[in-house]
Amino acid sequence: MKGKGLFLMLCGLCLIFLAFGRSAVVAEENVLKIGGLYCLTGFGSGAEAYVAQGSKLGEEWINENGGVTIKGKKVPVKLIIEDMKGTADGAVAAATKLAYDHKVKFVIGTVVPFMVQASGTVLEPAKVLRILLYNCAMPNEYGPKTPYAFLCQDATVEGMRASLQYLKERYPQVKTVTYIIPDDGSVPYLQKLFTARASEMGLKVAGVAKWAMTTEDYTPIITQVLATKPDSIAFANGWPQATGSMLRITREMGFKGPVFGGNYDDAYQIREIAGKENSTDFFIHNLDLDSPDMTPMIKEVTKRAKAKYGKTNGMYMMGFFPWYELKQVLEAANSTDPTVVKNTWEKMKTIDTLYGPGKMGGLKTYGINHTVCHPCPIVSLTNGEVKWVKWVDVYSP
Amino acid sequence: MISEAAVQTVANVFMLSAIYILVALGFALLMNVLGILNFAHAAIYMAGGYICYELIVGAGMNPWVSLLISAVAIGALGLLIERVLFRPFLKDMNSIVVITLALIIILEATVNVTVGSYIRRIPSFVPGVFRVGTVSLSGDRLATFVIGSCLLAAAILFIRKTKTGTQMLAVSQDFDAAALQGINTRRIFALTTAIGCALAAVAGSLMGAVLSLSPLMGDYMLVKAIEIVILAGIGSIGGVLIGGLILGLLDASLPLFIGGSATDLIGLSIVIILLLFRPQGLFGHEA
Repeated sequence: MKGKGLFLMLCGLCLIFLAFGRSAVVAEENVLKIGGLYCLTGFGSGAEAYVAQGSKLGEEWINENGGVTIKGKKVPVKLIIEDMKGTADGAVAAATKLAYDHKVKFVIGTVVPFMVQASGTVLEPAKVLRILLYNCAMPNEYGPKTPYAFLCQDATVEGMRASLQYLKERYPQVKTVTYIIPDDGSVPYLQKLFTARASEMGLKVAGVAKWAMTTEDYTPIITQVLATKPDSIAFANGWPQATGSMLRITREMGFKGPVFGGNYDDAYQIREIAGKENSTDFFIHNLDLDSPDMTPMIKEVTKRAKAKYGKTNGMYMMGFFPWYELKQVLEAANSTDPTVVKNTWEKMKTIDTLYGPGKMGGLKTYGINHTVCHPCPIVSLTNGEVKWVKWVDVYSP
Repeated sequence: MISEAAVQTVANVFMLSAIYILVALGFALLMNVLGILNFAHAAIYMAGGYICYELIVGAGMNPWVSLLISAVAIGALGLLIERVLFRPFLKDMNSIVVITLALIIILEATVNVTVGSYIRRIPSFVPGVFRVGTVSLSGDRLATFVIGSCLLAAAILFIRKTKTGTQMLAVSQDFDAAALQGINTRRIFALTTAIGCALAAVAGSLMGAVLSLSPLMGDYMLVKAIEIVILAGIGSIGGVLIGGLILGLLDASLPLFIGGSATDLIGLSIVIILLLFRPQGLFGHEA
């Protein structure tokens, strides 16, 4: 009797396990796992921690409506974040975990070139579709050698194009520009592209300076830049610490001409580091979340960020950006197979973005038609104040 | 045009050397007197900067008073670190190295998680820019130059001319013999650690104004500190001046000619070549 009772109990437990276990497996199969590669610690974490938070907002936004619609069915998405720890080794390890432990077929991220390249060494052979958040025009980073990589937003080249357009409009007296580029391997490629862009605008390149990623004091670099006697100075890439420091030193050394960035960066942090007294005649790409010029989707993301995190930050947009496009391409492809999605996406001519209508491009510039080009937001630092300027349309053929 | 850059570069050399010397001083003290390779110097330097920032911006205190309080607070932290973490392992330097590595990770992660990684800057200690001819120097850099020079001179005089300094020299030469001579070696250890940490706090506070403030701000500066101490030679505080000048000269002038990562490469190569000819450093003693 006792044995029979035990036997029946065990059978019951097995049935319960099979029922819920099967549900868990079925539930897992019904979820589309999306990998997220971000630096939550170490180099780059200052910005990317916010980008990761923005990415979570994107996941929630998609799942609020049940998920993406594939073949008439709603498929929820699940974001799986791995920390790259700000190193190439970390990027490889994180990519490996995503591709082989979590078996994701789509990955969102990342930003910094050496980590993009490092993670690509794992994800490209695994045919995982990557949605990059930035690129610096290096062939191993993004191009024909990376057929499964898409660039979801304006990056260095597009950003610089937009900045030069605005420079000509706002400062027509400027005839020369000196570029300052971080020495992350991109200098020869960007120098060529920037020189071409400047020439298109009727500007002469007075000089190109580069700085090591380990630089603490930018005074020697700015000394070199000012020796070229430029009318304007362009920061190709960087982060607030570098951009703010260079802006400060540039103004302290007496340069009065326009200084601008070709990348997205937090104008408030730049101002904090440069000091209000040095923050003038400077512009860079970023949003003014309080401006009525923001698109409905930007306002939506801002509202969600305030509700979830109690604050706003332009970097949340960077995290949300790829989700907005991923949903469109998945539904256009009507498939979760990354190769099918890749083939669909590269044939698309237009795609909606958080910042307005986007166009697919990049074949002539990068050798691959995987770049989403969209309006570029410009903010300025004028007499110590951050001011919204305008949207600038930009396209990389 | 070139001469303007050259003149500015000469000024840059001295300013950058002063920055490196200030950052390296506390590290050099612990290395030369106690033989401790204190990797946590980077995190202690950072912590000093953040305390100073919170006192100035959060509590609205005078910047100079905040700097002094930060130095005292971090000096006290140094006493605690010495008592709890270093003293139990005095005979085992390998363990102390591991402890300092753990300390840097713990301190940086704590600041990263609690305060966040938003880049800040400490408000200027000496606002404004001073121009002499074509040379421009910010008030904070000049202050760093003056303070760094004074602290280096004070450290050298303290070690060479005071009783406590002589005791520190004795401990650095032979720990057991110093103890047998009646020197209170534990007191020397504690004092040296406290002074080293206080110097790190001063450096962190000034650098937070000259450069910027972030949880990882000490990492690259630690590399510079190690380079300077190795160049100067173990046992030589005065050599920190020459080591700092050499590094300042390389880092301020090489970008004018080559730029980028090659600057680091060539700078480190020159340091290595110098050491090949003089492995004990420029002013160190041969084993």
